Amino acid sequence: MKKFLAMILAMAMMLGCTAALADETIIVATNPEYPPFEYVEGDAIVGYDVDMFDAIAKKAGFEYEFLPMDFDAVVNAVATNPNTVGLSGISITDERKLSVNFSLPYVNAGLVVIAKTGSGFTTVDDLKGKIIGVQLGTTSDFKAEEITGMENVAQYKTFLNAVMELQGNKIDAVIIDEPVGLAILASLNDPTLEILDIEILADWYGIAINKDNAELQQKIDDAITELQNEGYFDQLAQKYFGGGEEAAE
Amino acid sequence: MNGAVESISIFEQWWQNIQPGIQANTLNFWENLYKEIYMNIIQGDRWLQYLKGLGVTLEVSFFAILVGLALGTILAILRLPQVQGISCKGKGFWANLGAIVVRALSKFAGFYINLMRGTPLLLQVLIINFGIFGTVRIDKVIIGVIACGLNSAAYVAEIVRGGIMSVEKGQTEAGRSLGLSSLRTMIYIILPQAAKSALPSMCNEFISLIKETSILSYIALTELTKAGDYIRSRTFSAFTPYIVSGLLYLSVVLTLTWLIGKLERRLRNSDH
Amino acid sequence: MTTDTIISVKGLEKHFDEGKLKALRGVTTDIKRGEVVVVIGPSGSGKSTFLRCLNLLEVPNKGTVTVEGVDITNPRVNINKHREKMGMVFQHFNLFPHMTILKNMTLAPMKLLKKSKAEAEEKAMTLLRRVGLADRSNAYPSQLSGGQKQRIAIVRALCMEPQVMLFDEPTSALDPEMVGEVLDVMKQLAMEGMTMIVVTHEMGFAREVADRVIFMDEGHIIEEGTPAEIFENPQQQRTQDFLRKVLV
Repeated sequence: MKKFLAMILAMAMMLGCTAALADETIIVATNPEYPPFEYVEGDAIVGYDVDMFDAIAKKAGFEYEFLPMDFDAVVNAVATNPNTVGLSGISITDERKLSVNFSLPYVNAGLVVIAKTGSGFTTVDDLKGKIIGVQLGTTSDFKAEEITGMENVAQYKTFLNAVMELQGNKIDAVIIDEPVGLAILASLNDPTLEILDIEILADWYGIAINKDNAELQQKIDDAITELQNEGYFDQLAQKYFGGGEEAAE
Repeated sequence: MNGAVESISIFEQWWQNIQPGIQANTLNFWENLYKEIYMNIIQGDRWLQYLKGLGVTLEVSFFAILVGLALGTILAILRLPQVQGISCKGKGFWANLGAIVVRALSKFAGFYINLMRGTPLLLQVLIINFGIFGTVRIDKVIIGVIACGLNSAAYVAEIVRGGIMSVEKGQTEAGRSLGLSSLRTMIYIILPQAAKSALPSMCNEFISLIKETSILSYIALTELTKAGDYIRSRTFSAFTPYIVSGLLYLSVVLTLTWLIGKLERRLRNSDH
Repeated sequence: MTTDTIISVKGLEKHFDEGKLKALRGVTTDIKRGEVVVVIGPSGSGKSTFLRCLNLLEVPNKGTVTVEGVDITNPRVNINKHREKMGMVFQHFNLFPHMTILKNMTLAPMKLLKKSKAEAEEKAMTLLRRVGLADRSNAYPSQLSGGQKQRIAIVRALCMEPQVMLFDEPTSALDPEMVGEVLDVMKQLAMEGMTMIVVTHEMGFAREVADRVIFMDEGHIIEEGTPAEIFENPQQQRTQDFLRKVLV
């Protein structure tokens, strides 16, 4: 019993310690397999989010470093570490708000459906009961579950794997953030795949911030507001989406 | 009493009780613990998802073990010295051809064992899923059974070969001197004794296999680890779902260990 | 004793280690039906190898072994069929430890002679009664003494109703007090007219039971004859040296 109590104590202390660590360097948890928002080029992590966060950090005056991980680990990492933020094209959802806070929304990417050409899917209802591939823990995952039911969603570690299964005709469709879908299709250059004309309501992206770090949240929000006023997001959209996207106002 | 008031369970009651604390971020240790348990096990009957995942893990493991045992035993026999160097000189064309084929198979078995043991299971799973079955729509459970079974066979082969080699040469001689063919000697005399001496290593292999099926989450098969991953992606708990999955793995492995221990004692009582 | 030859051995050679070790260097002899031949000689003389060549447990490099007119060293011969007719008893018994005594004895007759379980067990029980071990039929080998194991090994071979019995130092691994019970079974077998080839160090047994004694050394048959000829009046120097050592 004593041992057990000691273990519990040790665990509690570990959890407590992480909260007490107040370092100036911000850890940026990200899943850099998500072009054009964050992806690896050479040794560097680059993309829309990366440019934006660099601008925010300059305005707010803090140092940061990237910590790459699986997407489904990002929100957890933020929830347990006050000095970690999640920058990974994270949609702002009520479920996530239970664990973390979000910055002001900065972009609405929108979701699209990719299917084999000639699939005949024209509405969301056509996708009911079909096998839909997604990346685990993404907004696409949640939407797909609403549409086709939990047992019909195939959740992969990366969107690329989901699209490859679609290429092999092993699943019926992939729901994916539009810019990511466009980027993947452009690099695969597979004429048997197409983006369907089906609109799926998406959420805004936000930066995930630990609930105990209100100070950091304030800094980031202020920076985003300033950047918006300077028209920075329009430039960013031009650079990564070639216009077309709905940038934060 | 008008039917609108549903009786809510004690779990729901406790969940309601800690709501203010969640909003204000003032939960104590035990309240936090309950929050984790409620969100990751009770809410939305999530425990059912662990059990479903466990079912898939057991299904894949069971059939993969069968595939591994069958194929592994064949590989082991092909790797025996007397099979590697088999020769049917002077027994006629067909016997000679057979010997050449068996020697080639033996070489292949050696190559196969090295290949499967020398590359990570994860890569094998990904290659089988995205390569070999890249355009075949079959149940992921089947892909899992094939991938894990083919991998396990390589390890089983070495265990069985060790078991066969540990049986005294005199046993083969006794069988052959009675007029039994080498195949019958193998089946009735050598393999039963080899199985007994290989049982502890085999138990280890089964345990590894059960745990290694967790890799199948990479190909979107919802087994036990993936079930934990899934719940974690919904509740954003740091590790609670992994602990639940871990406890389930542990209970399966401990049960298996107990069963094999019993079998071993029975075998020990029956002879030596 | 008839003059019918059952096994004819001609120019038998066996090499080990790619020819570095020559265990047999040309052995020629005939075994007659019903004959009891005892092979003696110093260790390393090739006597066990000679015995093991007779049922092809060792495949000879040269020479022929002809059993009932068939050259079994010809690769096209089905050796399993011939082994059914040649029972063998080993120094270390080689009972199957995972089977009961009864299963040890009925496995081969059921698989090879297509006997029913009842038939095979009846035959086994008859033989077990003859060697006084009927009450141990359901025991496992590990529960028996060495002498009991060897008696079982003998009757296990007899279950196949062989025409020849080969004994490879059947008493060498036994405690001295158990040698007698095994030799008694062998003597009984000899009296019943079984053709037997026995490699042994038991000179008493050779003297009493053998029709012919073969003395081997360095892969050759040095001398052969009746027990009286070999033991009372050996012609060769090496035979005399050997007997002097073992008969003190």
